[in-house]
Amino acid sequence: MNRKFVDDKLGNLFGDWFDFLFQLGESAATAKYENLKYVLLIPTASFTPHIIATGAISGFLQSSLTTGFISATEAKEKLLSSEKGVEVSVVDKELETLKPVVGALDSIDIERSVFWLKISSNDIKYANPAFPLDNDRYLVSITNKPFVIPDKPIEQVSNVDMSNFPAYYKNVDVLGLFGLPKNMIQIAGNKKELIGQSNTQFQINQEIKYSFADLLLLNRSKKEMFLTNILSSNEDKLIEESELSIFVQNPNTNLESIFEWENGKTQIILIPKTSRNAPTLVDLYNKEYLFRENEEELELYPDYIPRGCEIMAYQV
Amino acid sequence: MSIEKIWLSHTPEFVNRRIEYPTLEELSVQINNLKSHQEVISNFSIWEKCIEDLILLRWSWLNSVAPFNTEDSYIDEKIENISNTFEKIKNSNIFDSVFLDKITHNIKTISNSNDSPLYDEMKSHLEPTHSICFIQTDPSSLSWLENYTRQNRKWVVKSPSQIRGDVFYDAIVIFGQATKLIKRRGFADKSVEFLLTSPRAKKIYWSHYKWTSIAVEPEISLVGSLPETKAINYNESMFLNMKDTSRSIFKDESLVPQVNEQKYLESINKLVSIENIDNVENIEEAHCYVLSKEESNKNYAAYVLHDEKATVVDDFDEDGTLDIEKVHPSQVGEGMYILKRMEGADRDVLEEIANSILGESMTVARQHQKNWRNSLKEKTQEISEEKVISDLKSLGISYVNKDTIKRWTTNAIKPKSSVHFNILLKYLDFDQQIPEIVSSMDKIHSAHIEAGQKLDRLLREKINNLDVKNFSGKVQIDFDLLGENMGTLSAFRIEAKLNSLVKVPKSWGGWGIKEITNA
Repeated sequence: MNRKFVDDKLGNLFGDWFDFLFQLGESAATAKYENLKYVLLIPTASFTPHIIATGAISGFLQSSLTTGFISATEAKEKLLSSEKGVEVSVVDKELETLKPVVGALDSIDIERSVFWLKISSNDIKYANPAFPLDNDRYLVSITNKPFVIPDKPIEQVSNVDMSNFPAYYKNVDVLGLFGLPKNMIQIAGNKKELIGQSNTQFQINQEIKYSFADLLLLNRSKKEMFLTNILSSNEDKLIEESELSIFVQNPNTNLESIFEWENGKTQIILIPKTSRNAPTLVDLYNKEYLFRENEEELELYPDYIPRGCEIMAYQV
Repeated sequence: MSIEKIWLSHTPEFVNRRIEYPTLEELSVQINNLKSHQEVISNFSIWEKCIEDLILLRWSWLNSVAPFNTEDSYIDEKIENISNTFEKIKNSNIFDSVFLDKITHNIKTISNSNDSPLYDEMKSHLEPTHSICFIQTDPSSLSWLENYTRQNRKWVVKSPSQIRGDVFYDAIVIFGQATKLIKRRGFADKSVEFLLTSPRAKKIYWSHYKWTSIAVEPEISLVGSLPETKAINYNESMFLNMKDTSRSIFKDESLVPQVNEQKYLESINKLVSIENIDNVENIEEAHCYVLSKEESNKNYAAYVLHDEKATVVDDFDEDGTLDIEKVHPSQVGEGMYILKRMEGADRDVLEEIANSILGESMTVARQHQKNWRNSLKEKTQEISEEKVISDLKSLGISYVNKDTIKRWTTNAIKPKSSVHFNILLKYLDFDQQIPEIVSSMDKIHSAHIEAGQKLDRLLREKINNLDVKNFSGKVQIDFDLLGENMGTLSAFRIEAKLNSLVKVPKSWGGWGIKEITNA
């Protein structure tokens, strides 16, 4: 696939490195280890977290994190076996714009063939919606994590045109993006630099223009649904619930400050060889690797690793 | 800049340019012969300073790109010192004056020469239409090199730090010795090895004298990674080429000026024994920096405890202005300025400022801090440190080790993670007081941040963006930051860093400098 930045100077965006980073994101999303860390020593951090994050989205869509959007009839068994309170999204196919209703699974009435979602903690003001179980007009996506019920319902709206996403995300149903949990990915580093790269446009086969901000459903407005956050590398700002945290050693940042942070999920640490902090960070992570709890060799990354990329994975 | 080019640049073509320059080679041999001469060894105290100056002079010339006759006060001073010592020795008839005259002759020949061998020879191999980046490792040659390369718009002179971003050239050119590159101005910045392992060019030229070696092997590597994915395999021709020292008379490390470490270590041990420290807990390992400051034949040293960072002033981003940074002690070296509080150095001024910010809540907050720290200390004494570590690990604080416990009981206000702090307080049986203690520690934490910001701001206002020339040639610069009550802060030029860690009273690692007898 010919991916090329709109700005000629930036050149192409495909090849072994792209494939490796994307697949690494997929592997990280589907890895089944707690407190898993990937540490990478790479030639440049530019666009690297973004490619990995899109790979992770692809991975999450293929993983058991959600069922993906399936018809209500098909989802019946899964709903019956799910715990009360898990996050469920429902889409009405007959509406012109896709506006999923997101809430916590509340109850199921088999006799009446209906299930209810709890979408707000204020039961007086906001009624809990019910959906038929035997009607294929509704598509349902069920996650395996609890939904934190807000004061008032959250309306999942995206102004991003996802119709072209299938050209980038292969083999996955992009509608599933609506079913993925908010804050799923966080990228921490030099916020200005990371956001700048997110907004840089590239084209696939010289046709449609893409940006990583769109592909990652980046958190740009409180009103819109989002999956990915870009943050500064400040421990206080990191998000506990993120499934994947990508930490980037950018100029004017120091990953040492978040070395001890953990949330039980997967972290990917990106250290460019050109960084002045590379010797200190490599030493720090090498020590952590040598004294890791689980001494099993975890080769949870793609088979092909491009020359010039050092990578190690371990559980802390 | 093309990301693709950077991704694909892992195996550059390497060209090792070995430059001939017989006079400098002859002088190098003469310096080594003088150093190993029986008479010099027997009366080393007379010769020590002169030998040191000769080695420093040789080191400057080995790394200089500008013509040898370029005006340089540092080199002129060395030559004058050497000449004066030679005169005295010749007058006292204790040494073969013909031998000394030959050395003097070679020094004069080189210093009067308009040759710039490292550059002149190199230039003929470069393609004028290619984009070429000359790596600047010797600040004294900078303006000459910039003027000389200006004739070609595609040629630029950059410091390693200036090409850390996504830039790419047809070739980069490195001059001089590897140690000079890795330890520019003494700044042990191993990260510059990216010039070899993540090159920003298709081709690397390394121009150095034929009779010297530039053996260098990258050290920064992830221990758990697969060797075959490293950017450059150490057995590849590039490194074999560098390692080929068969034709080299001098290995890189034998040319680097050294300090007489043993003498300093003996002196430090002597001074420590005078202090009469009874409690071994008050003795700590520290990094020792010999300062350029000299007074009445006395040298001074500054110490930084081994697990702490040093606050130093240098032109870190190499933009011609000074920056203040807290860096790991291993990265601090000769030519940098270390900051130390001087007057009023007997107390923690940061804590004092933080206490004044805390106001009325200070007494309760500090008592809470004392309580949980003491409780942790007592627990380690009661059931052993190992048991405490294993208990805390089993409770979910996976990273805890002896250093963590030490940090929590001495410097840290609280563990970084609030979840871990709660676990720790529960473990120490503070269940009932957790909200109060957490709130107190949060207050102290905020007050310390505010105090640190205040000090930093004052410091940066004084130092940041000062022209490098403001510090040039000075061995000590004093700053009055907070008025009389808080004392002064001084920046000291570092002459040398001792390789070994030294055991000194903990207080030496705080503020102030210590006399060090170079006897």
